[in-house]
Amino acid sequence: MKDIFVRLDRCVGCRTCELECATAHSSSLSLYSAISETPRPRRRLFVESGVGQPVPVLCRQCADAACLSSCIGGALYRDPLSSAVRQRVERCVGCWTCVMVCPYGVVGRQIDGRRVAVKCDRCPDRVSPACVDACPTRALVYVEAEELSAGRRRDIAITAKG
Amino acid sequence: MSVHYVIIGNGAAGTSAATRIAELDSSAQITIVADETHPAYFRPLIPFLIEGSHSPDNLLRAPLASTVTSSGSAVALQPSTQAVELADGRRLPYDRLLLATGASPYLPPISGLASADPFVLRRWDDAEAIRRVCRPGGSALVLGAGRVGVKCALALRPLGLQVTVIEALSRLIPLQLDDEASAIVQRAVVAQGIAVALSCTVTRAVRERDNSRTLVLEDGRRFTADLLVVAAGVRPNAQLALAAGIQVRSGIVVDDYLRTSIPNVYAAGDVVEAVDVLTGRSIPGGNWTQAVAMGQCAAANMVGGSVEYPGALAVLNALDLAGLPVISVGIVEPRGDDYAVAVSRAGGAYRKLVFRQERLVGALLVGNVDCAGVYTAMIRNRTDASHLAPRMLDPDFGYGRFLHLKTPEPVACI
Repeated sequence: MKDIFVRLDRCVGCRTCELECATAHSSSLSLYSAISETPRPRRRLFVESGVGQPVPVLCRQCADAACLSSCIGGALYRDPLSSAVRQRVERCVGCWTCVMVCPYGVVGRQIDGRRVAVKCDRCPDRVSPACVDACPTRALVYVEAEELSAGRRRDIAITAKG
Repeated sequence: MSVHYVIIGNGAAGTSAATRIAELDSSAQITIVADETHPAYFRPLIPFLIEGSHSPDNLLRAPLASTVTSSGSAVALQPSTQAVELADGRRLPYDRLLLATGASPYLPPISGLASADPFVLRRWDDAEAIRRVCRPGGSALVLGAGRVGVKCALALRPLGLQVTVIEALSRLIPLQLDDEASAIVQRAVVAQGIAVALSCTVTRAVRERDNSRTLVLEDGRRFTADLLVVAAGVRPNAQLALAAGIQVRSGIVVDDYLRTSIPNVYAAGDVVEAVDVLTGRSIPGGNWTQAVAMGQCAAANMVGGSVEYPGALAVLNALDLAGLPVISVGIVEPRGDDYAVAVSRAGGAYRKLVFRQERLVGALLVGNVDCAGVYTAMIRNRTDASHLAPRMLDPDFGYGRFLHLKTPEPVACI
């Protein structure tokens, strides 16, 4: 199962991921028209000022997801293929319980138009998520955990040798 | 051999337990005993049935595969033979039993109240009954301005009723808010055209000859309306447990693993006497989020696991009241010198954090609830917040503040 990983040393805090995330969740799918849409397309990941460096904070699609089990309307569900927690937006009643329980603080709110929760859906219609594709420094990668750790082991081995 | 799990109650605790048992034990045989008029549904949504703003189908839960639901009520437990007796005479043997019988609306001891035959709002059929008698131009009294009372008033208003909320305490949603938050909520509620009467001591309820209902106050004021809804809180449905000899105080007494005092019988949800982890005080029932967590925890232990229930918070509520988001977690109105309070009123929102020593113990957010989950997690996990406290109400505060990670070496492109 692929996950979105963050390589913190590469993030320069440019927020391109945020822009492309919002655009990918707009109806026009174009940045130039997206900015004038109502409801305004919203980002689902957040580049925060971490401890001395920018940090993209994004949904981990938790195995035991608090948002999912506490959804009072049955709007959130686990997609069996991607194992992402996705939303049947028509069932969301905007009660904000998921906002209250997400320990990463990455469930947002759409408040213009219908009031509904907004969270990362891992871009169901794309091969890889928009934020990952957009990242100019490749700080965000969409890979299997094993792939990432194998890459790291290789790098560390090379560094140690050389 | 498959284990037979019997769950009494199909609310938040019962349903989440059944779901979790099925996930953990693929050969489980699960029977849910439910005395509701409808299949399992999301209880917090029933105000929408009054308002008619959502299709009733959208309130229903997806049916659980591999679970049998038995409608009817359980009338007795036979712990010695491990069986449940149902109202229709059937006897349901169990290997593990979960009591998730929930709670029922409480009618305060006001003279004439019971015979005034008021509505309550707890179950699907309660909401439908209210809906049936609503006529545009009519009027309604809601006695009790807690979460259910306020939601009920907001659901009645769009139907064209004159709605008055009557509360004994001095503010709306008194147990989950402080004075300032409550005043903001009150403005939003009043802006919907709802009348609010606070600090009211109701001494008498009267069913008038024209079938309207009157509430008479200690100070002589009288409120009359076509319908009366009582929303004065709930009491645990612990009779079944009590009759079976299970230890019950304000609710069913459970240990850290949600076991009752009788072997193979567990309890979860509003029927349990929960204790606030922050104050040690026992908690009035009615918290959906916690009922779900308890159901999942009980399930894990019923299938043979050993999962400690991390404990409950007396206040753990998210609401959207007339477009005003409100989240309230932990101790939001501290009393005593042990506490420090930080408040922000930036951007017309009201955000208050309560600290005890170096820990965050409460968060009350009105108007802007972003990042609430980070606060909730800090309260639950008793995170040391001393170095973060001065910045925790900054607009850019978030989980990123906790990431001290350093990527050791650059990783080759993959």
